[in-house]
Amino acid sequence: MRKYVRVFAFAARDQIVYMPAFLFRNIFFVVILFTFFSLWRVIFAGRAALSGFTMVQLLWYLTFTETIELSKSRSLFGIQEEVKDGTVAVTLSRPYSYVLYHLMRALGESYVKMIPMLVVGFLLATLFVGPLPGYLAALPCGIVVIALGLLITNLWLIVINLLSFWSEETMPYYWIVQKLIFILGGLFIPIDLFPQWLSGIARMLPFAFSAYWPSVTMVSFSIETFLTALGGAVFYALALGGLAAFLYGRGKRRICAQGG
Amino acid sequence: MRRGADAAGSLHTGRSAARLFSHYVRFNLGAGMEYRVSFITQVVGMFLNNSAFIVFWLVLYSNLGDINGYAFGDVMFLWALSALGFGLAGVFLGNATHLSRTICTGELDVYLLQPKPALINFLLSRMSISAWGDIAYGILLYAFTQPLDPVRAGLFVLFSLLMAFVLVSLRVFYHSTTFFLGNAEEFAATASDLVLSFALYPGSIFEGPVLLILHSLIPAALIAYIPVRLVHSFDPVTMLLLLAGDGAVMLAAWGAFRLGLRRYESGNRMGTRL
Repeated sequence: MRKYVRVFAFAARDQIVYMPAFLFRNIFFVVILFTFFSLWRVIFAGRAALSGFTMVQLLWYLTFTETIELSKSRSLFGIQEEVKDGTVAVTLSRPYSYVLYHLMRALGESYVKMIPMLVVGFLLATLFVGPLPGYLAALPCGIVVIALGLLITNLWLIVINLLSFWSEETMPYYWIVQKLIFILGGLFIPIDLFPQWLSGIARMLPFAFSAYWPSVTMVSFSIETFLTALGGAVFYALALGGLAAFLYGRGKRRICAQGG
Repeated sequence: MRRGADAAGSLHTGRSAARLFSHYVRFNLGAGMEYRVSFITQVVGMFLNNSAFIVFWLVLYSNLGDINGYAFGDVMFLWALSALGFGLAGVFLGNATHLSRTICTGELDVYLLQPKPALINFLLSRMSISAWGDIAYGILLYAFTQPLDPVRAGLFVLFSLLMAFVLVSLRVFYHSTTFFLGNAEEFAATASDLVLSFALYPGSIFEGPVLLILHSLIPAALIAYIPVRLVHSFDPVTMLLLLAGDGAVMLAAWGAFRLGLRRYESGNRMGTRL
């Protein structure tokens, strides 16, 4: 296990080195939050709440969903390249689990990105709509489920990239899963605003544990919400981890190594 | 006599560019179709990717009447316009996003040595396959959500073409800063994305100094908000102003590229392009 902790630490250190570039790229975070603020300000004009969300809760909710989305690992797209150019064959002889290695690398990158995103989100949301009531009380549990949300998002990326053993191009699968997280996962809009039948289904899907549940734990904290978010996230993380291991196991049988 | 010679020269350049365009389209499409499954997956994937956002707006509008004067149909018009404009830019002038990298690696030499206008040659030489999905989405979204009035449809096509040219020009303009500042790929990609990010939301939600930025540095108004207004109530003066604005962006991009070329230093990398 120690080797995976090291991989995590190396990836985290790498990410710290590239932090200025990352922060610059995330000018997009500022813009998208400003756009959401402008949009929801118009929608909330003359309303105190919408489906149980106040304007303050809604904007803060979006800072958390966007933090998870923008902190996901970019390095995982390398899996597709490794499969395509055959580099993956070299890793077969290495004494580690390919899936776990990539997961720990991705988490090292993601968790280092997450911290400045939470700080920037805090500053922006406070500037736009004021402080979030109960922020500090929700933070210890909220951080745990946000971290698990990132774990699920990264596991999706691993699963999608492993499909490159069978498919020439996996980017379209990524776009589709990403959009399912955007919409059914509540990244763009809280699931509570959906028609009742749809919100009931969406709440139970894995996509919601990437965005909705961690964010709603932060903006309207209760022990029940936290435990639901935690239980669902652990369940789906295990399921996606298992799927990734299964896909890799099947996929590596298709590797053909020729020559030296 | 001189004017006649100039006109003949322009005509020749126009014909030559049209021939180059048609060669590149055939070549790039043929290359993309070599991997047929990948081609179809990318096109369908992009189509589904874009479709997801309809749900977002449907949910929003089911809770509201309109958003500061923008009805659901207006937002769908913005999406159809942006998808078609973005798609056309990616399919036919798809290399613009690679300009910074090409400058940095010295690979621009290849285009400078060929007997064709360097910028046009460069822009045409790459096609984004997934952008076909954007084109299909833009056309179908328009057909299903907008009134099928020929004048309105004509304006939609015109504004989509203008959007494609402006998007490409902005990319060229932003990426040309690499000639002066070193690798500005990150900046250029972010700045280009910002334009589209703003263009996909109703212009009426923004106010104050931001509006000034959206009419100048990040001209989302030029590619989206003003076209929506013109489709609703056509006004020749606004149309002329829009064309002048679009022309200014294209001219600025061309000027920045030309100016940058003077500072360009060739690479020593050996390569060939057939």
